[in-house]
Amino acid sequence: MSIRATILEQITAIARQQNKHLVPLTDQLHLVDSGLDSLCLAILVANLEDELELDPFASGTVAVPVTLGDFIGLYEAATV
Amino acid sequence: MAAAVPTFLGARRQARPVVLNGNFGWLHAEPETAGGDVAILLCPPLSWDALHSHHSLRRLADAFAALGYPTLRFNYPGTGDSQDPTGPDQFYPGQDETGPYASQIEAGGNGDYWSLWQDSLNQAAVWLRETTGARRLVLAGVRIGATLAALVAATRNDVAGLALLAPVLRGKSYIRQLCMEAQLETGISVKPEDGLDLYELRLSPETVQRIGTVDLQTLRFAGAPRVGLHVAIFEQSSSRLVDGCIDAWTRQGVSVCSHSFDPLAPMLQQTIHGDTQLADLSGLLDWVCEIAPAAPPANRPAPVIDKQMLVAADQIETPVCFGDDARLFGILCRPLYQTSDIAVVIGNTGRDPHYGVARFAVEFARHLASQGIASFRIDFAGLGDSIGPAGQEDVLSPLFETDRSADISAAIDVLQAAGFRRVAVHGLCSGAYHAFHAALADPRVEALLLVNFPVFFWQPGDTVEQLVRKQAPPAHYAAKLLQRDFWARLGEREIAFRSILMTQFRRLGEQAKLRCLVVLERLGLIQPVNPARRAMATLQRRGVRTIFLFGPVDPGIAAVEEVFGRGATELDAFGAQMCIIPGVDHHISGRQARLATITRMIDFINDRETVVTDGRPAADIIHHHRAAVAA
Repeated sequence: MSIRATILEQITAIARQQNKHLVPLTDQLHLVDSGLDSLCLAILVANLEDELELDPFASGTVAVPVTLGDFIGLYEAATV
Repeated sequence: MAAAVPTFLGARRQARPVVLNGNFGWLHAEPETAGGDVAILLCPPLSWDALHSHHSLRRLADAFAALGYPTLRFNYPGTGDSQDPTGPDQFYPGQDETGPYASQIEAGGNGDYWSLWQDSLNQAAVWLRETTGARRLVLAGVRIGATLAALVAATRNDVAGLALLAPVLRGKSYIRQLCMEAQLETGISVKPEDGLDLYELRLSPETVQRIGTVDLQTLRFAGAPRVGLHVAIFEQSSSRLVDGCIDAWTRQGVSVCSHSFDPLAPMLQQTIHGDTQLADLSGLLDWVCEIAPAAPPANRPAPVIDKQMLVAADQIETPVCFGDDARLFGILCRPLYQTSDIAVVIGNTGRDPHYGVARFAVEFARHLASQGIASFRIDFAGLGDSIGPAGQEDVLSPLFETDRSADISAAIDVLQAAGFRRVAVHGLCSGAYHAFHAALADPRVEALLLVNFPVFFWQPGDTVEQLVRKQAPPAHYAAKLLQRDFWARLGEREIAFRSILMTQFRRLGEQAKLRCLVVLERLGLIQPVNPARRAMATLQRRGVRTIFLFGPVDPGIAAVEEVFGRGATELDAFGAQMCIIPGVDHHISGRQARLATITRMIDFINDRETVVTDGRPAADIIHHHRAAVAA
């Protein structure tokens, strides 16, 4: 499964688990407007570390991206 | 055959508060049997997970007890109502220097919570066996509580079953989650090697490092092969980590199975909005009944000590069941050195249990005690550890719709019976709303400490979403218009534009009407017409002192400013005041914000002035922060 698909699948699963209403996921979507709160985003990053063995935030210097597209791009770049 | 989930058997018939080695908990057991050969130890999660799962774990404990399993649920050291293993240089001056964990803290140098929590679980297991006569235990843990349960179960030979509910399988991922949460809350990058300060958790770098090294795939069960030990993983989604655990543990002789967590999912969901779907516990109950059937105790149980108290350097805390049929619950916190005859009632925030987000109520109570002031932190009926009305014992009661005045009055009865002549009531968000209305209903209330007060009156049919929408200033929606995806979402009918527009028009219309009435009121031509102004006038006549405390961008400011003008300067005329505390968010999640808020409230109780607003008027601070946020 591609990184993009994994991220989108995780977002959908977390929204369901946390009973959050997701808006349609587009690259331009601001994460804060997605329906996920800070706890959900934190769970997302933790789950992605488990699933992808990637943690682009590990250095502590990377800010959380504003849009979903930037977020996916960050993970895709981390595999290169 | 599926085990029917037993309903609550009657007010306080089967659950009693207990204190074990400085940790607070509840023992759920049928009074007729008192004990059982198999006992259940519930291992709660931390932080938000603990708040969200509190109600489900209470139901689960009741259900186990009704099936013949004595069940203990408790708070780890430094969580919930348990004592704080912190030194004298920490948040509470002088607290716990002689507490049960003093030697461990000293030995660890920094309070290694990870070890303390595992130790406390082992101590709870011993206590549970001695108290109930059980020979075997089933440990059931949620999220990081499941991780702790697994680590402890692996070292014990009396564990027959281990139920892991949405377990954290790798500590590193959990730490990443907490660091990310802290970063999103504060906007400041958080590195695990610096330790973690998030909500009530204050973890040293060593503790963070220890949690980060946990990987349950490498868990070694003592005495393997552990034939006879059953493990059930209730997983949120299938993952290679779950598969790894099943493989590794099966090789050690453990019988492992996996189930979906989906029926239990409401256990971890926020419960603020509307009716709450209850977690379906039947799968878990069935599994336990199958692997470790309930049986009468083989050993004679030791009697439970009736009077349970949490004693620390500054205070004595006593669990109290009160109200009609003792359905309500609270913890009376009395200072060792009482300096005031006033006591503070602390109610629930939202639908969270009485200890509150980031344990704010506990911190407030213990800080009050350090200043010689008593408090009574309570659960309203149907929340936390208080039982709802007959027929609705298992239902989480609504946020605003339920009148809490009777609950607060019952708490005041307890305080007056305990000798306190004067009473203040504190609440945060919806708790502040209920405190305000309790003061209107009960003339014994002398002071109100209202933090992030959301609304003066809740109308039937109102929703939290409507409230948030109404309180958002027009500028909020103007800014939204500039966002690219706003128009796309509008086109896809994701945004109820007409509804937003109508709400804003109504709000502006109401404000204009109110301004006119206030002018007439000031001229002495009319009595206060607005219900909120009438209510404040009533409190003023009764001599109630009121303070509204807000974080700089809290939406509740709009509710007060709408009625009492910009900066709420007109509150002066009603003997009340509004104070803005920099750095405070809606939950008061930051440690410094909690301390500043608590300090301001204690100074208000003591009728002292605190400078926490940079000396500027409230309106200036609000304006400054709004401008900063907009930028």
